[in-house]
Amino acid sequence: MTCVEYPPLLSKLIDGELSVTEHSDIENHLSCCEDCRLHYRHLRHQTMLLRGFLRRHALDEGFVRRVRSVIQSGGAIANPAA
Amino acid sequence: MLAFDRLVREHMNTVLGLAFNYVGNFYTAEDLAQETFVQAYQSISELRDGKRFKVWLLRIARNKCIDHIRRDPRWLSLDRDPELRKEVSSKTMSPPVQDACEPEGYSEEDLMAALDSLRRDYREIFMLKHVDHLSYKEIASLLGMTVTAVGEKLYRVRSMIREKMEQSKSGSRRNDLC
Repeated sequence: MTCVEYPPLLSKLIDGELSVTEHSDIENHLSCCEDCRLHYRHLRHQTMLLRGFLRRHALDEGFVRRVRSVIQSGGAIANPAA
Repeated sequence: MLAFDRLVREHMNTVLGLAFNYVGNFYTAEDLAQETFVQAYQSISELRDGKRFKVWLLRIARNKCIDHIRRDPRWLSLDRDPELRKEVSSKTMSPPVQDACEPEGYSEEDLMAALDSLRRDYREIFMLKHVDHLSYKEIASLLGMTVTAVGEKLYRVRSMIREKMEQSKSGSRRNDLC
């Protein structure tokens, strides 16, 4: 496998979608390819930034209560576009 | 009702992330998430396989978002106008926090700007993957794609994001030198 064929596998590595063979193959490659290591670090960093962003806007128990209350009152929802 | 509360708790942030991808602000996204769960509760008898609840729920959420955009064309124009969208977002979101560990020197703002510049279907698949770690199989089922196509598209999206973030960084460096 040549170096240009690895980046798609790096994306799958981030997502935990590699087979055992692919996993071992890419680990070997990462140990000796600086470009792919850099690309992998960038992909991980994207994931980390997005998780941080989503964590700050996460819904809490108040949302669960609001949904329950709307359902118990018959399911009428105010039009959010209004 | 308690069992449904558990389902809401488990999936609320996935639905929120999906809706945010469509409408670009958290207030409207939360309203749409609420509508999604109410509709899911009311039509739960239509769900034949409980194991597919998440995909079924996200399909409801997706339809809600599309209906919302059709109902209110302001959101479409907002989506096509990154400046206007940025302005509205800055009024509805808290300021981004710099991550303590930034090996690449990029911030959340850089990532969101890169995401904003992508086509909606690219943003959508990226959000689906990250908000609740949906598997390629689940995303494929939700979007009507093959598992291989999901992997290839996610790779393309990430490469585009990297390229845009790097362009933005080299652009600001040039400005600093001027």
